[in-house]
Amino acid sequence: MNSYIFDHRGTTTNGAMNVDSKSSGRTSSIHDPAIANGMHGVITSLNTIMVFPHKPVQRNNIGAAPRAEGAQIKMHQVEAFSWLWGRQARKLINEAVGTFLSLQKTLSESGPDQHKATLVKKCREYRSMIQACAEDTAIQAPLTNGEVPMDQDEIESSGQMLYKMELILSLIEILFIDTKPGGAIMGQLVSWIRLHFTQCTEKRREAMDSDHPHQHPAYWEAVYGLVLQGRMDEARQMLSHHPNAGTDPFLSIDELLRKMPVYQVYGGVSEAEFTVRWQHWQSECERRLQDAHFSTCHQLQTICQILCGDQGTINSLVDLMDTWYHLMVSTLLFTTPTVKLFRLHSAAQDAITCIGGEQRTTSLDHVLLAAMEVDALQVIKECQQVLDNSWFTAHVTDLLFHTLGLKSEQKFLPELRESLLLDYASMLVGHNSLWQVGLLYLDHCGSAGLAMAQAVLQRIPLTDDSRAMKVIQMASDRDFDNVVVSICRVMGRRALSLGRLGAAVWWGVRSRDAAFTSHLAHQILHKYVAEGKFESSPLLDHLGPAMLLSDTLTFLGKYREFHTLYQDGKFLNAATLLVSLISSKLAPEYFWPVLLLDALPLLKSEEPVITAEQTYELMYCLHNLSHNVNKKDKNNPLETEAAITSFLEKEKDIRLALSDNLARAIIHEGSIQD
Amino acid sequence: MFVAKSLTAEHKDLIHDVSFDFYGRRMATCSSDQSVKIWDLGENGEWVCTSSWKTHCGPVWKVTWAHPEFGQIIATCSFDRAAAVWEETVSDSGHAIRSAWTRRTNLVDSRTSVMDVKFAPKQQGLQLATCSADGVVRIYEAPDVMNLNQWSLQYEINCKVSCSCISWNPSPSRLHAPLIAVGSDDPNPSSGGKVFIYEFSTNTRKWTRVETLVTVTEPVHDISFAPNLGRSYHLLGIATKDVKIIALKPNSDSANYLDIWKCISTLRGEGVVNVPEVASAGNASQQIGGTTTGQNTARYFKLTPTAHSSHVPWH
Repeated sequence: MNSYIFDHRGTTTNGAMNVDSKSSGRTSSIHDPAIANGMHGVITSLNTIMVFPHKPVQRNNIGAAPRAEGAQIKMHQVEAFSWLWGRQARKLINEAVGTFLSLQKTLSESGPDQHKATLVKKCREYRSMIQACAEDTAIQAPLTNGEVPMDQDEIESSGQMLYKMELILSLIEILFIDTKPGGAIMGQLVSWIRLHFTQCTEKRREAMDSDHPHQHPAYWEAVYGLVLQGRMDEARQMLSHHPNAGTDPFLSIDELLRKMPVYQVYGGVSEAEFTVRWQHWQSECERRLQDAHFSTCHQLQTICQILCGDQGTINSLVDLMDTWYHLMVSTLLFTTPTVKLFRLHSAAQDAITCIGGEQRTTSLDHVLLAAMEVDALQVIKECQQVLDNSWFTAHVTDLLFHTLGLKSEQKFLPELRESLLLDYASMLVGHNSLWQVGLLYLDHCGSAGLAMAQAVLQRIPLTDDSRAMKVIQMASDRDFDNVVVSICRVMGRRALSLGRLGAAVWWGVRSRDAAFTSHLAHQILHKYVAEGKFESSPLLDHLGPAMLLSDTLTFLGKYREFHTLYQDGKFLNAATLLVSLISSKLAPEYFWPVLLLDALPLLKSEEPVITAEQTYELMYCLHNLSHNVNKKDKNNPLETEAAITSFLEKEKDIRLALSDNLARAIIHEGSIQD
Repeated sequence: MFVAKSLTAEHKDLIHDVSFDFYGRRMATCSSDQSVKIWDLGENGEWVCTSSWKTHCGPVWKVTWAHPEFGQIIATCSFDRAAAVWEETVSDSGHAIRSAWTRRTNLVDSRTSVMDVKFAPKQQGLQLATCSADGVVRIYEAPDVMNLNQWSLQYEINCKVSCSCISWNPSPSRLHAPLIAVGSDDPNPSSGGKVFIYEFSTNTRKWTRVETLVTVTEPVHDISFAPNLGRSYHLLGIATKDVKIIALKPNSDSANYLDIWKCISTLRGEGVVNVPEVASAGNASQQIGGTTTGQNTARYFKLTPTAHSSHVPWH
């Protein structure tokens, strides 16, 4: 169904490229002379191909490498446009997903005896959605900006497609889902026909609106049509407007019409009893016909022949009925009103023969026939042929799957349902507004659905932070940890490239990527060394246990803590922390000068806050650092000349402070407090 | 129904490759005019060229994007026997975000024209594979993903026939070892199969040829693995005169060796076909293969489930 052929009609001089779609038979042309000589294409999202002119490469003969012949090179982005992307379909898609999900949920939660009621209800919901969509399409509401207006052809074909969908679905409801005990289907079939064939009521209105209804050309056609649909009361009402309504033939036919028995499943009358009554009524019709009650009015004669189930008469009125299924139902109404489902397909064959045989049937007819043979698989297969609409086949298959349960002859059905739902969902996920709906379906498509959902979530463009958070939420709802990690990595990278180091750390931590966060932490520390301030400090202050992801990050977090303690005036704690940071070797070597400088005010404070022990630590650190710095080789921890000179300048100061503090501390710790 | 939009390529010569990034919103084109152009998809659905620069000293055959987890990185390969890796640097100048692409490394080990370059799946780190006209496939790795200036040549595989295309299996996992498919455009039909499958063994740390697809005897122009998405077997699309879809099933006993491969479908091209190319859609569905044929027609095939689940029709 989805085979598209781009065809270059070699004979045109301007080298047009024609795009031909089998399903709709439309052709559009793209003019590009360069493409005439060869074409290459690359697939991008689900339905788009980017094509551009191309020539084969002779790899050895590069001297004759392909060259453009002077014309401007163009690329063409070719997109498949599906009815699903249209605005009318949007509502259908959104409503259907709600019904679909509630169907799955209700069925899984309720007992088997409530299943049928649920299925009937959901089927009717789908039908009303389709109906609403058809009405929407017909109205042609004003367009919002950017929308392409549908041309008349499109509107018509959409309308037809929706009509067919509803027709098929309502028949499926009768024959598969809403089956009545005993297999009696007449009443439902008659309702079905009445719903979908309204010419007789239109003609009736036409005739009755005129001045002399009985003289209107549509009058008798309307009456026949009403009778054929079993609308006896309306037919009688029309006949009562005839000037001869008081005469014998009219009164006779009126009585017959009034007394026709109608079988009701829950009517309290058994089938056998109904059959007796009905046969009695029909033999009365036959008797009156033979007794020439209606010889004066041939139209009434025709009506009585219909009531007698005269095949010839009914067949002769086939033009009023339009289709074989109307003919079939009308025939059955007057020959075997207690017809059972299993007899339906032979009745259908008879009706088809009457209208001219198999060759007159359309693909829609095949769907209906398959339904009448209660062959679910065939129905689905035929639906795919007649309607290029994965929405319909997916939902119908789902309904049929649930209706038929796990009966042995329907082995294919579970798998088929999954793959059709997958097919439908995969169409949706390629669309930038419908991907969320697609994901909801993928949740019900088994393991393949899970795999696709993961792939889809990874590929959603992360246009901004809120979009990223939304996708992450959806991924974590489904326990897709790897997807969450991947998205965090991408966002972290992106933040890094924009220089937003704090945000990058935030994402990096969520992605549990130690190497990345280490790298970021180093960047932040270097920046601090260069500029003397932290950006995005709130983010860093609230890392919490996440900072343990990498050593450098831990150091960064702790160093921030030191700053906070210092600013809060808790010098003792700050000092302890600082010294522990230095002695634990968490700090990267290029940062040691900073730490030592941070220690200076603490060393010089009035109250001793750094103990002797701690002072020894600091001295050791200073000793190592100056040793490494003075080595003057490539592995100098202080990477820049400026850093080295700045350190050497401060070194003396630090040494002095350290020794002063040591002296003070020893005295303080050695003395006895009074 | 199809809708087509045109855009002017702005290249001064023929385009050889178009590649889309992971999200489908950025596009790279490379051309005989030795340059690469980067395009961004705007709000209104129009492609805007945001960068353009000279990349090589000869026609650039292929361009490809790395996974966005590693940053904004592309790789190019060219007739000038080199492959290069480029990274985007973005600076916020207050008025607008400006982007510039810088070369991170130049891979010059090949002695002949480099025909294809592809990044490995992200689970394998930052690796890429190149294939050259003299039949050598090279696999490079950047051990520190934060430092793209350092790439080392890890492996060299000599296929002994000229290579035209490579494809990495996009979904390696515990169960499937890393795989590369290499296609050859050698015109001699009697030199055997034209598609080779190489598998990496973590025990021996070597790439070994596990399969030669002998039924493919015509020159191969393009090759592509489909995303795995939960199947137990791999799907490989091969473009020759026709498009063949091959299923590769790992042998269940020794999980690392491929045993059974089967051509599950051949899509016939019509008439004389010069340069078919297969691209399995990078997006979610594994069931789409598109081919474009040189002279006459482009076909877009979709695997559609039908009521007969026993055969998988492509149409």
